[in-house]
Amino acid sequence: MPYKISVRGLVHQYYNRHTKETVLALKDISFDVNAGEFVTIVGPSGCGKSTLLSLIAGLRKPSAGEILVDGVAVSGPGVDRGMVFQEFAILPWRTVQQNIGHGLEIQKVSKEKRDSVIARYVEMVGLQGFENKYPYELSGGMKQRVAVARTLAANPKVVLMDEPLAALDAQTRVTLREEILRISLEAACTILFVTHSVDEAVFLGDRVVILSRHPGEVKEIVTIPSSREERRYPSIHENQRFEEIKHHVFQSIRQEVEMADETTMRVE
Amino acid sequence: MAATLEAASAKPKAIKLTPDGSSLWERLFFAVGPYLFLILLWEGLRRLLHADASTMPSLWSAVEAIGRVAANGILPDYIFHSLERITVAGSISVVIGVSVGITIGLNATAAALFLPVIRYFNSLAGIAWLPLFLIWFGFNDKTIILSISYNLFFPVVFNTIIGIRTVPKVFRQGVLTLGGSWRDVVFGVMLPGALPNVISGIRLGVAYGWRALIASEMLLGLGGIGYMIFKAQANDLTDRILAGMLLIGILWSLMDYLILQPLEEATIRRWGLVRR
Ligand SMILES: Nc1ncnc2c1ncn2[C@@H]1O[C@H](COP(=O)(O)OP(=O)(O)OP(=O)(O)O)[C@@H](O)[C@H]1O
Ligand SMILES: [Mg+2]
Repeated sequence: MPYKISVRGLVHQYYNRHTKETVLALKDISFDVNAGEFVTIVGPSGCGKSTLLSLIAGLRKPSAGEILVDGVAVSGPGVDRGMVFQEFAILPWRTVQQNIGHGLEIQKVSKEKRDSVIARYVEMVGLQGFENKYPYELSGGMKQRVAVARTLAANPKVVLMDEPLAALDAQTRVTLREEILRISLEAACTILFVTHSVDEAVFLGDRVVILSRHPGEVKEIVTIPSSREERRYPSIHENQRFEEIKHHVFQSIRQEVEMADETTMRVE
Repeated sequence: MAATLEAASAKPKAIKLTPDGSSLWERLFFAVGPYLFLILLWEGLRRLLHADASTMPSLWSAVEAIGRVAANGILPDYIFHSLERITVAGSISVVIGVSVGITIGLNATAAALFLPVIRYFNSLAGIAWLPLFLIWFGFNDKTIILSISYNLFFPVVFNTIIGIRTVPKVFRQGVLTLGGSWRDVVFGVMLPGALPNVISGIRLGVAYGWRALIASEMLLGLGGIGYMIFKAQANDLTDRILAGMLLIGILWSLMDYLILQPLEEATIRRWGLVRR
């Protein structure tokens, strides 16, 4: 069986037309993701995580290398790969429910069907009572939840999430992690999830991809031994193995950040 | 410490943040205050310079003149002419201006081809075209409407282009990852995203068009408020000139206040671009 996603020798260089400078964001990334797998991606700020996701989404063309989804090379964005952006990207002139239902609207799903899906996702992300509000009336965390719901409601086979829980309070974040875990098991989609939180990466992932400092390379891939069904907060923290893996991932990233500081003299 | 606690628990005095929240008197002051000042200035100058009524008529005589032209039926007819012209010209220019603006905003080739030309023509005031328009179309309503349309066109085009270009890229990308086609992007993202700027452009454009309307009405003699002023000059009716000038301002303010401004504010507020 082919991999759901294959990333082969991916290189990406940004070119600034005005300064004529190039920035190497990703240098030789390769990894594979199985169908139904939940892969989390961690790495120092600026190492190219967002770049990697936008390449897989087909929003940019790689400078070299290729990305296969179901064995077919990615040539552009498509409904099979949904993405939750670091900057939310929900539309300010659409209400909460219009944003959440946007993907279904594009797919020309009937109004009744759409409304029932919207209602389900509104409840899932805890936005009942805000259905008819516009994004400017929402807090940062609420906007982020709309963005997550919007992507999931379109029911993509591959879900790319770029720090979707970053702006939330601790309690909501934990709730949504459990929700996302549940959805991932229910919807049988494949998820690539970028995060800065080691706890989150280890709690959610079947595997954790650790990227090196800028320019990004795969430093290490850590397999999480337990199955996703078994994970719950807060009992997970009592699991000795879970804490050990977290410690390991944490050290691995810290090493990169420290080395990045030494090479660029920049304090993150 | 005790004092601050006491102060904090005392009934808080309402803090006025916006004119909306202020008293009727204050609002009245901000609405008429500036005009009151101008009226006093005009009347003051008249007395100071000992100006006679045929050079600097009193504002009251201008108001009386408005009453006269209103009563003899000239005024409603002229106002109707002027409003009809700005409406027709506005519709033409908004349709063409928005379409051209969208094309240029979306397409780099179109921008490279047409933008320099549009900038060039923008520098030619609409009134400079009037002699040519007269030769082509004659002393005709077409000439007036074309002249208004010309002036109205540029602010609409430029603002539409800015509107299209400043729609955040990530909005487009978001819709593409929802499976959207270019159609969904253009009609679902670019157009609504550009709307607040488009409407600001229309508001500015109508203001420019209104000026062109008055100028060309003066020259063509086909009725309208501009013509009323011009004819009054020929007959030494200074109070009627002043009346016409007052009316131009009042009509514009009404149009802006009743139609354009609410439209602009509604979109801007709903789009969440300005938080007051
Ligand atoms: N549009 C762009 N043009 C030029 N350089 C860019 C652009 N976007 C990102 N970069 C550069 O590419 C590198 C990777 O950026 P990217 O946004 O992918 O990092 P990231 O890992 O997502 O960081 P963070 O964790 O802070 O979100 C950075 O050095 C950044 O400066
Ligand atoms: Mg990022």
